[in-house]
Amino acid sequence: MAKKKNKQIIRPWCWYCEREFEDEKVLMQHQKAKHFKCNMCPRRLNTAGGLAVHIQQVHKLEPENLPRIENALPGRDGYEVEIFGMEGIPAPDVADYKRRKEIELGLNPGTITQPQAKRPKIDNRPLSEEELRAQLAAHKALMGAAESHAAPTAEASSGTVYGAPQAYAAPPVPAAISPPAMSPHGMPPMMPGAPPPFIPGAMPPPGAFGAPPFMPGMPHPGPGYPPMPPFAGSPPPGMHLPPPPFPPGVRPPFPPPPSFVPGMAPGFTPPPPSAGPGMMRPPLGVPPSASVSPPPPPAGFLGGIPPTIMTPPPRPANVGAPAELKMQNPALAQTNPAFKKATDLKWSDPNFSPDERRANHPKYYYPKDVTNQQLPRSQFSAHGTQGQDGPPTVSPGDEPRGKKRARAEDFL
Amino acid sequence: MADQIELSSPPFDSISLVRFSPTNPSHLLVSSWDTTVRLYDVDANEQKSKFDHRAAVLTCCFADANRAFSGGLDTSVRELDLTTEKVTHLGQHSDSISASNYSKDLNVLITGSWDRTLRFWDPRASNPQQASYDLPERVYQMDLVNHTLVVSMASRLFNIYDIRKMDSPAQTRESSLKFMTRALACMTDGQGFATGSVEGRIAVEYFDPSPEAQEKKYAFKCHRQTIADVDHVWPVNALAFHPVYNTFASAGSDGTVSIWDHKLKKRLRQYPKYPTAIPSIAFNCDGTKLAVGVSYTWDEGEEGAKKAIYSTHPHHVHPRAQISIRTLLTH
Repeated sequence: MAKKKNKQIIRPWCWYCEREFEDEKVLMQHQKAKHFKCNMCPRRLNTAGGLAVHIQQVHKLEPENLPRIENALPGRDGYEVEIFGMEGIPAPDVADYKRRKEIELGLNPGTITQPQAKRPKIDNRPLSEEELRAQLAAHKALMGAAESHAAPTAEASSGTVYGAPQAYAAPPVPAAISPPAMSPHGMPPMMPGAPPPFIPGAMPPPGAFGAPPFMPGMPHPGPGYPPMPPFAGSPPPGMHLPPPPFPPGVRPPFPPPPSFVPGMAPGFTPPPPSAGPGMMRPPLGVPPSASVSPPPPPAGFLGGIPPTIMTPPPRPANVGAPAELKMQNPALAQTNPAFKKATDLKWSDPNFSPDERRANHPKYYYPKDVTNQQLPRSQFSAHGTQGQDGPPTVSPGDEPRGKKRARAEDFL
Repeated sequence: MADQIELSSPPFDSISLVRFSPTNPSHLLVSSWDTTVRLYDVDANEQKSKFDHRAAVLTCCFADANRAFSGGLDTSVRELDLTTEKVTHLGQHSDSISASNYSKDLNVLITGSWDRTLRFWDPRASNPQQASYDLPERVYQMDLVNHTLVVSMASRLFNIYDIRKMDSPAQTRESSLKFMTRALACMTDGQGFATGSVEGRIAVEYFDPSPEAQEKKYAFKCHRQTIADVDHVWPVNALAFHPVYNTFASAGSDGTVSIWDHKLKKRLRQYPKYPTAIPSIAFNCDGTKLAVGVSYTWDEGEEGAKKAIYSTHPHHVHPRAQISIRTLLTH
């Protein structure tokens, strides 16, 4: 199924920033505007090579002083590769991109970027009586259900929310916490807590969620829908909550909660219990013609959402600036001895290596996710752990309660 | 056959580590700041597989012919299946992972991190992390020979362990070099190790703590040049012992690779300068090839990154990283 879906989904994308486009023309416009624009004059070139030659010849810059290609991902900001639209993308990168689209990985809850193509549209009309009732039922079912399997819920659901239906822009990162039992497609075997709106009584069992027939309907919201309101976190798991671009750092501690709030799910109330692709249409009045690539949707769709979503994680631009490097044990700080004769020491920082400095540079900086440090609990207690550096260990018994409470609080 | 080839499709950013397969003399694993780990077949000059990461990768190592591990700025320890390109997440450090080694005897992966711990991993266990050991400082390099693990740290500290009894280090040493440790490699015969510092100097030391053995340790200058009465001194970024001859190669930010005989205390060879710094070198398992990763090593910070990239050919842009494979004919 993943494969088939992919065929539909893979659209022209920009090698420099991995953003997707409706068609190649738009892609080329994007490349001219974002990547092949000379920053010394208004000229826009068609290719990186063109830009390089332009800068050298018109602005008389030595080749070694060429500025990096703007707005590009790390490692892709060079002139080595001649890109023109979709042409010229190195084969390994194409394969890789496709693979990333195809494979759903067992991922860290919350460390994934989301498929914006599948983002459902929601309208903000008032809820009908019936819908409200259904939502209440869903909520009750959920809260009730949580009693029985609270423990898996918290973990699995957060995994689900981010990990389930997207074979997508996810960078290939394995999960930190995700249980090993997770299926290769990144769908936790059970996702009890996650899909509230669909749970209600007559709905398919939670497990059915990852089932193929379910998916097709979701990725293709009708064209006429307004951009999703930021809080409307109700649709199928994995589709609400635009993922934080830098999940580890910014990830809300309990991603799923918003979906548990009944009133907050305007458009997506439980429709008549049918699981087919059409399921969300009747109540919403989506024209049945919703197709794979809808006509250019409202500006917000193209210009607003995707960039953040498609931004692959290693991009440090919008993360808080890296902190200044500090010695953890200042008593050990070194000073370089003086030289007897004139010496040009190429690396003169006695306490931090070039790699550490480099890792702290905004281009490479990767925020350390402290919340992610919950290594499997037993590891720290079970084996010969020497250090006290491990995260405060939570005894397994406490955890579900804490998470449940957190969820309840969120509800309130 | 040319004595040197350059691999096509190198990483797009600096190389952090090159490592040959323990069994296949033509399989080379390369980790890079471009967030990838790539496997090359150097004889065929082709990229066999590639693994993307969330952040720059600082270290990688082979477990066997088909499995490897990686770690880097995203702090996560990954197992890489080289044939299927499947990635398994084993766990995390709390800071960047800077070094890794695999012990075949114990079937254990050892990772070192700037979080000042060493951690042991068993990829087959349901809880892969087996143990964590505190260290006084950030781990910079590690090397393993037989059961002896040498860990070099910031603040010029060294710990030497027997990995069968990790509860306390067998020896703790301060570097015999006065500057930051930048390179480390254990002798193939398991007698000792060599370390290099940022101040163009290499020390050769022995494990045996007896005074006679310790007396044999020495250090020498290298990777430096006097230009107009000023000593230009580059870091020694990498050391590697030859698997057969037990001689070793050193590489520095000056872009040179030298081969040394540490018993005769002689330089056997110096290869022509590479265009920029050399972050990592490796001999293959049968000692017929030397892989040389060539790329900027951040010695001049961000500024250096800008100029280190391009050649002087106006229309021919050089890649930022290059991997040269030298075929070693004689010693």
